[in-house]
Amino acid sequence: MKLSDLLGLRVSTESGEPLGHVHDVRAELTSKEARVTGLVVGPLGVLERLGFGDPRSRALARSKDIVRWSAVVRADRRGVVVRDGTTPK
Amino acid sequence: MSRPIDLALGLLDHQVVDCEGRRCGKVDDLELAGVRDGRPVVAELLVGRRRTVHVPWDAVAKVDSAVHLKVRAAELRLGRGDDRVRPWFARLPLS
Repeated sequence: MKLSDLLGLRVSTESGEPLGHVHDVRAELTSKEARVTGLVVGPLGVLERLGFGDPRSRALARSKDIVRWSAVVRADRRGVVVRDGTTPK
Repeated sequence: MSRPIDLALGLLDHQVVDCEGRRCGKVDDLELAGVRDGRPVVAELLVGRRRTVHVPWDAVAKVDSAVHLKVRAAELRLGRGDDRVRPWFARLPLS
């Protein structure tokens, strides 16, 4: 799957509660790999990409906009479905 | 040592530089592997839109304001568009 396929997808819970859209994909960068750890979701994600972010960390969205990848049940071209009860943190 | 990175913000459209400091394209997209397995990682950089070159993540040395490669661009067949036009620019005065 390409990154561009993920960007813009709708994110919702298994019971259909909308959480927003994927605005970026958070990864942990090491010397060996870049492992995906979460999704940047919600309207604030857009603002973050435009530069309106936490002044201590302009490059990254605030942690409360992140849905952990471990909560993802399904991610394909139809959208991203996460476990019920998941909220961006 | 690890650090978080937002892939679209931190990698897309970033300059790719080979081990000799040669600019050889920009990151147009990323291929993610393991999405269905629940452990996705960045598998490849996709460089170039008309003729996409797949650069394995293993070839990446570091990421800062650019993506630095461990290898020469020619080994990955990167930057060939520049190679085609370089002789023309070489003929220009003061070039």
